[in-house]
Amino acid sequence: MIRVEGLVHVYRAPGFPPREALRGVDLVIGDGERVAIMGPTGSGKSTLVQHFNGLLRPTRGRVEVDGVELWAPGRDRDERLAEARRRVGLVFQFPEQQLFAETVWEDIAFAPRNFGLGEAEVADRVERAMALAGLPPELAHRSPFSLSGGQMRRVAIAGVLAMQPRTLVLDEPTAGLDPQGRAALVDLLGRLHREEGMTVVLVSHDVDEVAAVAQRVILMRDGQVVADGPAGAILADTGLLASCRLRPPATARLLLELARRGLPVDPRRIGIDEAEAELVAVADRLGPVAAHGQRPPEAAPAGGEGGP
Amino acid sequence: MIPEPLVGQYVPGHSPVHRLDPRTKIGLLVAYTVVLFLVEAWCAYALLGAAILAATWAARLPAGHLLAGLRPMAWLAGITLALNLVAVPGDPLVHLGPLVATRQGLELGLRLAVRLLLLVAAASLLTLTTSPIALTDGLEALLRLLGRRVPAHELAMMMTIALRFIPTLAEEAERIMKAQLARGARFHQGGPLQRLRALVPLLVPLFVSAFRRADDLALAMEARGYRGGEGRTRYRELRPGPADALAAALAALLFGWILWWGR
Repeated sequence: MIRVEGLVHVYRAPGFPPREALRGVDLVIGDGERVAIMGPTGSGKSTLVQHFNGLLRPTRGRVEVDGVELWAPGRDRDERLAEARRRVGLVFQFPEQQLFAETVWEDIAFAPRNFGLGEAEVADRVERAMALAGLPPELAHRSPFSLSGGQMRRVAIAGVLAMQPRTLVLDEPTAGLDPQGRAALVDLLGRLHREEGMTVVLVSHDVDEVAAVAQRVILMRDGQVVADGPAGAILADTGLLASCRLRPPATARLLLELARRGLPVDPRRIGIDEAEAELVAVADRLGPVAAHGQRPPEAAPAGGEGGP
Repeated sequence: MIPEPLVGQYVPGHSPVHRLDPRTKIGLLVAYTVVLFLVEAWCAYALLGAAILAATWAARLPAGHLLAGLRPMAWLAGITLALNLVAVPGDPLVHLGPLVATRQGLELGLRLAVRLLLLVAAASLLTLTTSPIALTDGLEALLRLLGRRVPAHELAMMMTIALRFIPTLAEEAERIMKAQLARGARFHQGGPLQRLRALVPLLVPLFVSAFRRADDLALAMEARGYRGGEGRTRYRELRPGPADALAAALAALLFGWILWWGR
């Protein structure tokens, strides 16, 4: 569980005015949740997630991971931070740019070795992480630099999964991937949640991806949380999203349009499966006539076909 | 780990010193250096120091910026002083075990240290008040004076690109460092060998991306028709104005007087 209270982060660089990236953030992310953090560029999302595993030090406020306060003074602080980094895996934007080792295997083994595990345990974890990330075992002894972009990203994610974190935080994990790579990654996140019971925190601009992955959405603007609630409620709120320069996902837009035309649909059912269920229910209600191409009266174009 | 601003990093401004032609400023720095190493009298150093302070004031820079630039050099100046103190033979001042500090050593050491500090102060005043672009433009123009054999444009372009990429690479280094920290890397623990080895996961990705950036940049430049300096015109023409004449005249007077009086 990650608990953040009154978190303020100010970036100071000599020669520049100090910039307040986070201005008092409070939130709790419980075990097993699937959370998306959204917001326009510069709203503080990336700064916030770097506090989840103690990479940044709060200017004010506190951060707890599983009840342990990371930055409380004390001689064991380095230990606490190391433990937080093991529990909360953080995948940065374009994580393939952090690959460095000669082989995929060595790169994925970097984290478990840093945490002082024995070689047998390391080998076990690398194999599991590769399988989990959907990397075929024969890639293990290839150079990571010889792989495709999508595969490199999987290697980088496997490098974090090898720590066996309970929470996985990903900053824009699908940026720059082709549609297939995106779909595969969204699928991977779902699997990690379902099969490994991992808490998944996703930072994203992509409302459709968020609609497919998240149960809960935290909306940020100017370093503050402006909304925090069930994904369906927030992603169907056109006005709220527009204030953060976002628009609802395709599913929500479709359902909102149908609701506007008087059909009995719930626009908060934004997951693909949910939206499909809504559409099927509506189709059943309209009956076979509608299914054969005759428009229901309220959807007919104004001044359309029709005789005198 | 946001890197400190580099010593003497440009501080944007609109003071008369900022607006001088870069060639004037480079020329003045060269003349100043020559004078600095010709004169022997202590009051001449004081005058040159005063000139630097006056120029700093005219540039509306806080003196702290200049001092910050001097701090790393203070070590070198101190070592210079200490070495000369004991290495130069002459009238003994103090006996320090087997070493003898001499009066001549003290004088030579002090003189070298002062010269060093004055030189660095002037050089950092140049870089503090001149944007890297203007500086390379000025250097290119001056290198051209050396004749066609000197690849002035290429050298200047290399400098511009190097300067341009320092902040980018620093930012990237920070990002990769954080990514490796998130994987449990420890950069500040263990012996020297361990620390050196800990740099591999930082340096390899940094080099990979630097080479990729270099490739991209070369392509982008070619795509926009870059073919080197031949026949290239500029957006920013260097035009010396009355301020440059005034600065040169003032400097000529000052340097001439110091040379005549301070040797």
